[in-house]
Amino acid sequence: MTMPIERIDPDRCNGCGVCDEGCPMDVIRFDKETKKAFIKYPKDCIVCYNCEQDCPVNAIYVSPQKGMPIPPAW
Amino acid sequence: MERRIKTDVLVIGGGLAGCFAAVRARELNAEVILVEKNYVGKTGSSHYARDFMVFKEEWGDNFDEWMQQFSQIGEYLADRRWDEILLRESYPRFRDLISWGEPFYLKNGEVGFPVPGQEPYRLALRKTKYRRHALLSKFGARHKMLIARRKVLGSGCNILDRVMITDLMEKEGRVAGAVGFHTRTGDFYFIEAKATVVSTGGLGFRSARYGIQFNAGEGMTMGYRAGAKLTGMEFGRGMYVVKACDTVVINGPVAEIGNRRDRVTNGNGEEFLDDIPHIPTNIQWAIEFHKGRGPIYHEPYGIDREAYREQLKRYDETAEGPWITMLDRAGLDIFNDRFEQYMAFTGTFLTGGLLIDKNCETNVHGLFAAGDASGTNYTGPTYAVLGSGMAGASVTGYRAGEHAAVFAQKVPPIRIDDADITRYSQHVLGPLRRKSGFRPHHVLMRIQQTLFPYEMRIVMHGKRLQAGLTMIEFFRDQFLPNLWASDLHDLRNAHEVRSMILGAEVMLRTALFRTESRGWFYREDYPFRDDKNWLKWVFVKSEGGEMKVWAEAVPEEYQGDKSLPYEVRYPVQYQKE
Repeated sequence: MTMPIERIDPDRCNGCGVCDEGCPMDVIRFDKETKKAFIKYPKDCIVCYNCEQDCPVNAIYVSPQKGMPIPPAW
Repeated sequence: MERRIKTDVLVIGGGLAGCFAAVRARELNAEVILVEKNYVGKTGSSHYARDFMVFKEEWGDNFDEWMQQFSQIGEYLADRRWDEILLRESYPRFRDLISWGEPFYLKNGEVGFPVPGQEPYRLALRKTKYRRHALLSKFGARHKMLIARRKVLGSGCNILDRVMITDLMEKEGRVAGAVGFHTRTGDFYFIEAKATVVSTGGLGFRSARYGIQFNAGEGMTMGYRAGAKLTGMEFGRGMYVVKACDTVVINGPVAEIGNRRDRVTNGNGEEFLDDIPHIPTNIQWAIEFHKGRGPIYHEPYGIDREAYREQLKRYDETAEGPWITMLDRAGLDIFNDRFEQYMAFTGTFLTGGLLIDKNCETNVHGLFAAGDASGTNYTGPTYAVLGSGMAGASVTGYRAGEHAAVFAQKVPPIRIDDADITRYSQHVLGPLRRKSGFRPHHVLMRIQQTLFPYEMRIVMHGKRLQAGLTMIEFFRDQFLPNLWASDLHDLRNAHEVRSMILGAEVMLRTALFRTESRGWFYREDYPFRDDKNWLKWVFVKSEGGEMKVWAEAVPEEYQGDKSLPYEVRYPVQYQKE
């Protein structure tokens, strides 16, 4: 599977939760124990870049490929 | 856990239309709850949109010209009642946004708050022989919906984030609220409301890029199941996608840079469009491919990227997406290399949805609709004016909120009993209670495989539409009763595909019904406009468990001057016309 949202760097993540809060596809969750955000449902990522653009510490990298590639029109 | 809540006005869907509805209803002293399956402030097509259409005579806009543009580009299916409302009310809503603290681009290129009378930066696109482009305001800040959220909360409305509404509750011939679940906690929500506004966006199928991906037409299909009429559902929307990276759509933005002409070629290296963008360009691309002359290439932009550095950076800062960054990451250089493109079918067109009157009320008592979920037919089968989606969301949202609040003051609450709750909870949580069945992702993939090939919804044909419908009916009968959600996240997916299947059925049945071509609606078996039989709107509703489809004539005065020569009446020609 290609990865759309590729990684949330745990060393950089400051646990602010803004990515988890804003994800429009419910892809990102917050781990209460480690106090870090993590990628839980990458298949549903629509590559909107909300999380990467919002992250205050640049911990997130989104690749431009979808998790579930769509059948092309041609 | 079960949560029962009561309110005067329930607004479902927290994009710009929903925020306007909530704020306006609250201004009229209604108690308001705004429910959103994502997070209000970072969702809705509005979050990803950029332009806001503003009409203002003092700025040199001519009312008759704009009305003519809607009619002509809407190919005489534009509902002129709504066109007039949209034009007249776009400016007051624009002022509302500024009062909320929404910045716009000013004429000097800076971002700020235009004072009354001061004209904001308005983008003037080229005039082509096909289309007089509109003027519009740029409104693309990434935090614009967060500002709307603050306004909604500051007005005293309640917001429920991450609650997905799945069904409207009907009782005694009225919509009495809605039911749903919290996508994180699993709580079952039971919201009793005197009036309900649906502002859930369009019907999408998670196609190529753009915000419509999380919109699965839930509001439209909920409304349909509650007896509401839908209109304009045969019209679909396409996006120009970069083949090697289909999360990037290239249409408007690059064309604005340097205001040059795009060059599109077929597999033989021939240019087959004389000018773009014009109305059925998307269809021409697909027809060119259909005739065996693919692939379709976009020739390199051939501009110096450095020279436009500031302008490109500005695009990267909008929520529309940092598409330059995305292309870089995909290793594509559209400035120097040619690239393959295709038209992706994305879903319903922005004016199709729940039929509303000028108060934004549907035919079902207590149910209102706004934004992309509403059916106004304001531009017919083609996109008339850039920025009209955002203006339309604001104008219909405001009206829906106002009339929902007035309605709520007049009617008594409806008693809902425990038996109703049990019945709805089974429907909402059913897929979660199963231990086996069809996964929502499997069903989604099958829907996409059916709808996305160009020969289904871009170059249409009755036989193929029928074939697609046969498959969708199979999904409906086989997959839906056996949908299995492994967790709450999957339950959300399950309800989305449930909505998509019903929506797809509506779309295909109405497309089969319209036996002509018009605007972006192209039927290979009926390749011409049919003014004699099809200056009509198509409607759908559920009747006795069957999907009833019918057409009604567009009022005579909207039909344009039929004595005009054909090429004047329709500046854009289909091939061999």
